[in-house]
Amino acid sequence: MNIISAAHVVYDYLIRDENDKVVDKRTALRDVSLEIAQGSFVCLLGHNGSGKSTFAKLINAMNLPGEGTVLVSGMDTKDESHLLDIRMTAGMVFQNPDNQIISNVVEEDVGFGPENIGVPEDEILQRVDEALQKVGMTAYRLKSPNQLSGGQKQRVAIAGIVAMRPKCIVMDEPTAMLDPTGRKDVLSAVHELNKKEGVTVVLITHYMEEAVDADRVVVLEKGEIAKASDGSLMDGTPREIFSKVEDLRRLRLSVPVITELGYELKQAGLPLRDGILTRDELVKELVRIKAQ
Amino acid sequence: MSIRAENLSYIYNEGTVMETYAIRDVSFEIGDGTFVGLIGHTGSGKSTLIQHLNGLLKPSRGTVYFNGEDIFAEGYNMKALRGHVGLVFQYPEYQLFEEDVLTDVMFGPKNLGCSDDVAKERAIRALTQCGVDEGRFDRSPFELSGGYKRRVAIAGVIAMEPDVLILDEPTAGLDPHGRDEILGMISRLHKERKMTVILVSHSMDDVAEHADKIMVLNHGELLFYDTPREVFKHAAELESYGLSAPEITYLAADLNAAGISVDPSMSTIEEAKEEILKALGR
Amino acid sequence: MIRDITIGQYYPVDSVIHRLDPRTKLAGTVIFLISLFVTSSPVGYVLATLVLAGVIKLSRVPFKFMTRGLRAILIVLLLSVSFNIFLTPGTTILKIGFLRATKEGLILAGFMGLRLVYLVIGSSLMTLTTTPTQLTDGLEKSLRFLNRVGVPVHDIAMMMSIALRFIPILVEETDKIMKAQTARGADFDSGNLIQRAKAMIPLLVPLFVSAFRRASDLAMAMEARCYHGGEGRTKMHPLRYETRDRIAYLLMFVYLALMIASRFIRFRLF
Repeated sequence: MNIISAAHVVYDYLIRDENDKVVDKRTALRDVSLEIAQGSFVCLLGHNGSGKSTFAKLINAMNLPGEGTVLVSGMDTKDESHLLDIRMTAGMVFQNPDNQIISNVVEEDVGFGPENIGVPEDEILQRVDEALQKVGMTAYRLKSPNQLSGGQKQRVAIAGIVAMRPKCIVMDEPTAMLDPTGRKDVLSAVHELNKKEGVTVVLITHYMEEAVDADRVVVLEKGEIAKASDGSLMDGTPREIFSKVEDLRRLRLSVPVITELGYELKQAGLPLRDGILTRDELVKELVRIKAQ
Repeated sequence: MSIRAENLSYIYNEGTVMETYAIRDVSFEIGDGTFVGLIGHTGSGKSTLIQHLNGLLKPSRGTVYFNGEDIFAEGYNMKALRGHVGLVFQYPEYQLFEEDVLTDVMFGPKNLGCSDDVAKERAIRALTQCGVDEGRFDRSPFELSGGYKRRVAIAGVIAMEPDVLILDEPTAGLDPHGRDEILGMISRLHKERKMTVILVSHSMDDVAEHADKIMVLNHGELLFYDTPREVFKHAAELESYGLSAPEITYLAADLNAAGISVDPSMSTIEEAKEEILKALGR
Repeated sequence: MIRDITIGQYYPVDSVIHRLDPRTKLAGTVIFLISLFVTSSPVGYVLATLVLAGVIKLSRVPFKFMTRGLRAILIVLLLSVSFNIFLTPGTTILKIGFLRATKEGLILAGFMGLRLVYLVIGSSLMTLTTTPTQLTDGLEKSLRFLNRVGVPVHDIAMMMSIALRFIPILVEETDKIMKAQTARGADFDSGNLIQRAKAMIPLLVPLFVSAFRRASDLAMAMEARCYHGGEGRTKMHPLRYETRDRIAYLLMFVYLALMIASRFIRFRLF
C-alpha cells in the first residue's frame, strides 16, 4: 500500500515585487510522480536546488502543488479539511535543531504536537514517555534543550513528531548540522523507528553513506527524477543507484567512499561487480579475485 | 610565518567548583606553509584553540608566539595580527551584512587601514580566487545560494591577505559538490598563495586528502600531531576516543586480515587503488 | 552582562516550590512585592527576610543563582542608594565636598536598597522555580478574562514563551558574530559614540537576518506540528490547584496581613 502518492506534481515559487504582484516564477518541481510504500525507508538525493526540500514540504501540506495531486494516506493535500490529519500522518523534521524546538524543557517540547491536536492529558504523558524512549532520550526528559548536543536536540525533534504517532516521517537534511557521533545516533534512531514501528521514512540527505541502508534511493535533478545515461530513472535500490557512478558524478553527487574505490578498481581492470556498498563486500570480492 | 603555542590552557570558571579546562597544556609549532588538519569531536576544544591563535581568546596559562613574538604581550598589535592570521568561523555566511558582495568583502581590508582602491583590488582578487564571478559582485549577499554565500564569506577573510588561514568546518551543511569545491579552493589557496592552512574538521576523509599534518584534540588535550600516515596507525586508539580513522584505513585492516597485504596506514582512494592493485599483482 | 540576567533561567530540581501552581507563584511574587512597599518598619523587614530565606531554602536552588540577577541591576542599585543617602534632608553625619550624607538618607537608602534587592531576588526565585512554559501558562490562565476585551492572551503567552526560549540562543549568536567580525578587523570597543554606533552595524544586520530566519523556520516547524492557535488545544500539564496551593495562598495572606500590621508597630531604630 502506498502512503504517499504524488502524481504529475508541478510547483513554482512565485517572485513578487513590492506591490505583491507576481513578476517572475521559478519552477522547483516539474512533473514529478512518485509513490512511496507504507513502511519503506526512502532516501531522496540531489544537489542543492534540485527540488528535494520542495517535494518534502508537499508531503505534509506545507507546500501545495500548482498542478497534479499529492495524496497522503489517500487524503488530498489540497483538501483543507484534512490539513491536521495529513500533518499528523506525515510528520516533518527539519535541518536546524535549534529552530524547531519550541519549549524550554524537553518533555514539554515533545508534548507540543499532541497538545495541538487536542490529545487528552493522560494520553499526552503516555505518548511523551513512549516517544522519548523510542529515540533514547528518556534520561533528558527534564533538561533544557540548551544543555543538549546537536544530535540530542535532533532526537528530541524526532520524538516531538513520534508523539503525534505518524505513519510517515519526512526528514529534510536532519544530519547536515551534526557531528559524526550525532549523525550516527540520529540515523540509528530513525532506522529503529522504521524497523520496529513500521514508520515510513523519507530521508533527504547529502551524506551518501546514509543512503546505503535505505530500501530505495531516488535522485532528483532540476525538479524531476533524474535520468541515467541509459534513459532509465534514477530510482531504485542503493546498489542499483550507486553502481551508476558516472551518472552520479554528472549530477554533482558523490558515491560512498568504498563504492568509489570499487569503481576505480574496476576501471583499472579488476573484474569486480558493480555497486559495492560496504567494506565487507569489497574485501570478499577482492579475496575472490585473488583466489582466481 | 610560524605559529607556536606554548603550554596553552584555557580554563572556564577558574578557582570555582565548576572549573573546567577547555584546553589543557597544549604545545605545538606550525611551520611556514604547512597544511594542518585539526580533528576532534564536539567539545574537544578545537574552536577554543583556534580562537587563541589570532588573539580572540586570552589563554589562562601559556601563550602563543607568532613569528617569535608573544601575541599576548603588552602592546602587541592585535589588529595587525588579525591581518596575518585569518579566521573563518563555522557557518561564516551568517556574518555577511553589506548591501552588495564586493563591499562586504572590502570590510576586512578597510579595517586593516587599506584605501578604498586597494581594498577593492584585494576584494576582487579574493572573490575571483574563491570562484565568485564578476556578475555576482554587485548582488546582495543575501540573495545568493548557500554555497556562494559561503564563498563570499571566506573571500571576506582571504581579502585580508593573511599568511595563516584558519577555517572552522568550512564544509558544514554543504552538498557533496559544494564540499569538494570548497576543499579544492582551500587547497589551491594553500598552493598558490603559499598560505599556512589550519582546517578544522570532523571528517578524517576530508583531512586525509589535503593535510600535511594532523592534530588530534580530545577533551582539550593534544593527542597527536604528526603526518596523516603516522596518526592513522593509531586507528584503534582514535576509535576509543570516539573519533574514526578514514574509511580506507579500516579497509586496509580488513584486507590485511583477509590475507591481502596492503599498507596499513593508507588513507585515500588513490593510495588504496595503488596498494590493492600491487597486492593483487596487477 | 547579558548572560547575568537570570530571568528565564529555570533551575531544574524538584522542590515544593517548583511543584506549586505557577499562578500561586505569580500571586506570591506580586504579594511579596507589594508587602515590601506597605511597610518600612524594621520588624516588617525582618519578617520579609525570614520569609524570603525560608522560601529560598524550600526551593533548593543554590543562593548564588539568586544573586546573579543582581549584577544586572547593580548600577541602578548604586544610583538609587547614593541618591537617597545624599539627597535626603536631615541630620548630617558625613560631608564630602558639597555632598551631605544624612542619617535619614542612610536609613532610607538602606530600605530602598533592600527593597530593590528583595524585589530582584523575589522575582528571580519565581523564574528559577517555574519553567517559562509554566509561567506563560500561568499568565495565560490568570489573564484569560482579558480575552473578552479582545486581547489575544494565548498568542501573547506563546510569543513570550518562544522569546524566552530564544534569548540564550541569540545571546550566543551575538557573541559569535562579534568574534567573527573582530577576526575581520572590526573594532567594537574604541572610538567615540558615533563611531561605536556605526561599528554595531556589522553586528546588528547579521543578527536581525538570523533572527528572522529562525523565526520563519520556527513558524514552519510549529505549523508542521499542527499548531493552529489556542483553539482546541489541550495541555500536557493543565493547571490545577492542589492542597499545597491552598495552603500557600493562606500563608501568603497571613504574611501580607502581618506586614501591614507591622506598619503600626512603633519601633525606633536610632
